[in-house]
Amino acid sequence: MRLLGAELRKLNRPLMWALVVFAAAFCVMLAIGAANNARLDLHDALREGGARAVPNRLAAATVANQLSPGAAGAEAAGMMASMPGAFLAAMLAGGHVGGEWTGRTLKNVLAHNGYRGRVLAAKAASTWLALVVVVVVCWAVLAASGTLICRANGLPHATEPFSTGLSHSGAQLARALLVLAFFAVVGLLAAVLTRGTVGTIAGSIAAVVALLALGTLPTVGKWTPATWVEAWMGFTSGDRTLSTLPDNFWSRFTASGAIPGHLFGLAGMAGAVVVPAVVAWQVFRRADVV
Amino acid sequence: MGGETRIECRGLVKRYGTVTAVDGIDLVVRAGEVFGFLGPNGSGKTSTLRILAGLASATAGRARILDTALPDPAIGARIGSMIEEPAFYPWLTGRANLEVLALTGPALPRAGAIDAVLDRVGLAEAADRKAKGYSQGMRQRLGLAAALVRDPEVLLLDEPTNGLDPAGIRDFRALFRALAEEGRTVFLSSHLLTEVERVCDRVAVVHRGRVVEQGRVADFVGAGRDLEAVYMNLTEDLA
Repeated sequence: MRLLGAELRKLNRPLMWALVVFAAAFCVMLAIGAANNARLDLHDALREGGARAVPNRLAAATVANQLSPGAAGAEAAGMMASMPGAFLAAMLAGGHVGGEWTGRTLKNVLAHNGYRGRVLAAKAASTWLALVVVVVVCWAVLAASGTLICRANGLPHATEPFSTGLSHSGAQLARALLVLAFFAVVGLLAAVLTRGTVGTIAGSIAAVVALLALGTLPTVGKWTPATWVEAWMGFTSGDRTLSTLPDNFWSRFTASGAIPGHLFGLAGMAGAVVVPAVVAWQVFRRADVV
Repeated sequence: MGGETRIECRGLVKRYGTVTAVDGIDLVVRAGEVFGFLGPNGSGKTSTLRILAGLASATAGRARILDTALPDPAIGARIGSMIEEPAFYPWLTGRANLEVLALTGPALPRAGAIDAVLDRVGLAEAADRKAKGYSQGMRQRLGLAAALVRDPEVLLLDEPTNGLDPAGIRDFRALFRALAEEGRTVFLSSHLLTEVERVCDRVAVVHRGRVVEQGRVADFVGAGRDLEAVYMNLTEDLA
């Protein structure tokens, strides 16, 4: 726990706070965009009436429900358990893990604690905890701003009970924990292999993009982490609509079609966390540090 | 200088691919000694220090510190090291850097150890400034503080006086002697031969990964010879 405390203390740095601000701003911008789209659609529906009126009113109500304080957590969790989270995790791992090689500070760490497995575990755990903090901050920011954004755009009040939204958010946040762990260990492995900040960022992003590309292949798609993330998080397959607030930036890049169930996703994600962690440990345990 | 053995290398070899950096080094360093490790650039000094500090593994041979065969993950808590240029987290203060390193390993041997070591290396006044604003000399002082913070029995120092002004070099020289008098072992590599001559009890000259001469400084110098002349003769003869 002392070692984890040291790693968390290192995270009190400008990079971490910049990423938190970036993630929160990204969520608010999406909320503003979705609310504005819903307002325009609603305006058209009221003016024109006809067949579009009902779905447009439903879309506006959906946005209002998504941005209610209780349900906003599901948005934050969905964002962070998809591409924006993968991007943030890559940046964080680049600075927090790869930066130990670039800044030549890893030798200090190992001089004071030669148990390399513990050092790696503390790096992964602290990266994961930082990503969880980002989700919570995004939820708080969306909860605080969502109602105002809806009101400013003249959207109807949220109809969903607070407890329903909160329950959905809790479930999505709990699921996102595993996906964030996956992103953290991908960053860890990239750092151990590339031994530098830039390499870690590039390697992490390249790995996620490659997995998404593999996920589109009909023969192997089901057996890739891209599909497991989709299954575990319950992201709608092939979701390419922007008419409401998107709850992820993942399924729009994967193939549409039947998604395996949660359990299949859970088993796959568990493996996807363990395998990179074991490979990182095997590489790091005997590596020379300069 | 007949203290117990603190550092021992036997046939130590380190290869990087086809390059042999350390080629069978044999060394014994005893308690209470300041031991100088001399050699030209690329002679294998830093590679040897990295193996002793647990940052690299030996290709062959064996090394022991404090009667513990290396590599041993627990040894870090008993030795202090400063290998190559000291590096720190620039967004943290000097004190916070030491606090983070203290948390990284086992609990420090006594309360107030960080303040005491900052005072000992002459960095107490600048301790609460961000490390990114430190001069090279201040980074060297902070590096030495990081090596000393666990009150180690053995210190491994690679070019510890790099970037120090004359007053800093004098301070470090006095500190190394004081540490040796406390019974600690100081193993240092340096290019500053006059400094080595002043502070070290024994030296080893390493060339192309091998120890070509070792002994007491007093045996090398005298009769109109200084350490620099001896060193130049040894390394030029073998070049």
